[in-house]
Amino acid sequence: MKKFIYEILILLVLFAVNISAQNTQIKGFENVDAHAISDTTNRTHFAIGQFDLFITSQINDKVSFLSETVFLYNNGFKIGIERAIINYHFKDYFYLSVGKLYAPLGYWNGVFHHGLVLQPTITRPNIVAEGPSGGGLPLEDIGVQFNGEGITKLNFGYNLMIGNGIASNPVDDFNQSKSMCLNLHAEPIENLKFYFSGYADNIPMGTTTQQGIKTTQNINLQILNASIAYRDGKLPIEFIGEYYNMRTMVPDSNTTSSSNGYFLYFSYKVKKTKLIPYLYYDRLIVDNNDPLFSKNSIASAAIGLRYVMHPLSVLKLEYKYSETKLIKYQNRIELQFAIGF
Amino acid sequence: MKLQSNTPYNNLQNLITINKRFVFFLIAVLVIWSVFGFKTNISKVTSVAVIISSDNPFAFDDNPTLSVSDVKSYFLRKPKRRWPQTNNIILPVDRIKFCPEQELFYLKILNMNTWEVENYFLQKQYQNGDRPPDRFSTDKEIIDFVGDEIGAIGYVNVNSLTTEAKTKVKVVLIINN
Repeated sequence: MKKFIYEILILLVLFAVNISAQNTQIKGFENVDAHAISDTTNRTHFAIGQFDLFITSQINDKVSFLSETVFLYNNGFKIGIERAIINYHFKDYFYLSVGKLYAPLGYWNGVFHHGLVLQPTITRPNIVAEGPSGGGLPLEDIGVQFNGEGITKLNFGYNLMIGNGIASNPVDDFNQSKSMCLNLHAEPIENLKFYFSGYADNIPMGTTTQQGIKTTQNINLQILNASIAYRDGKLPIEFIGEYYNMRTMVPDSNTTSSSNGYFLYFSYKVKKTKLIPYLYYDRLIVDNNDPLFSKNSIASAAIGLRYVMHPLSVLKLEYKYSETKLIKYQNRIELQFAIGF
Repeated sequence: MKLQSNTPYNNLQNLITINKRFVFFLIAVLVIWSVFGFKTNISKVTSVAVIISSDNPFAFDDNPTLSVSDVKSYFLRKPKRRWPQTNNIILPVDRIKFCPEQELFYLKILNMNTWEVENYFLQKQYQNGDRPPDRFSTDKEIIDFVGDEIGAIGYVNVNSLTTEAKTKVKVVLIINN
């Protein structure tokens, strides 16, 4: 571990030496949380969040690079490369990204991730949550992505990603079929965005998903999404709404399942202050026959207050109520101090 | 501590009752910070010129002009990230520190405040790795940079546009107070 940290430090120094030549920027994100949770027991604790090392570099007029390395605690500190992207810009309406990317599914997944100072809520909605307790969406993939933005006056854009898919690791693909993800979006009115996206992948028997479920048969997965978002506009309100449908088909037994997830987020910026009250409702309905996702359907509602001291320094206070099959109901009151540097 | 929580309401009551001090602490931190954290920016305003490189083909016109919405669109690199004439990357150039020129440019052109601009470019950088604006301390540094970079667009005080400066850059819009 120590050796790895030394290597990272040496890399940082080397990057710093070249900063002026290539317009390389090193940023970081971190958050410290305080939690009061009540379900079957009452408990309180403080916690540090993921330490996000974020590097971008404009290498020349057409080539740029982005990387995001996260240090997190999970039975010991672990390091993960969340993104490593090389972009090649041909035109505004056509540029190429290769590497490890966030899958272009919906809105939230592409805009908010580990830098929680940018995220409007303390936690991610269930459907786009990460890890074993997450919603089961394939949030990241390794492959090639074709992109275009600012097409026509309606500001159409597209992202088409061809990747290794769920049955893969960072250096290998465990089956020959590739995943495909298409995101079509438009911004007909400034800051009002519409998204439609879809994802398809074949998952072979024996694959372990991010939720830790090991597949016992070959599975075809299809995901459809529709999203709307209004943020950073002149109106004092912000809203985000997303809907996902996840269909699985097991060719051998000809069985299908359909799980759904959606969330609605709304906030209002109080005039002449830095306070932004917000609320959201979040629902994940998992089909009992779903062979891929967690069997834990969940409904949550939250109300919170965001105090934006600076774009890189935000304090959030949130009360969240959740109902699940497993723990019935849970109340959480959380405070988060998130920064970027 | 094991609790009897028959209803969500009882459950919430338990949370607040047993952790009263902790919950109070969380709320107090937010309230105190928000009350004492306010700061007001007051500054003078002046006239500024929006400039591009003399080498930018757009500057070859006898009287190159951009509209307010064009300048906003190019500076924010939204929706276009590259100059249509040359396909070069657009490089917005900004001042490092808050100054009257910046205040006037943000207010009259971008219709945004300092934090909104910072937040906007931070989000662009986080999402796509977009290069944030190059920032300088003085008008002279901005003029030198814009003169050297074919894709750059920036703003300076009109009084900083000396005869020498005008050979390096072209004025595409003047914002009068």
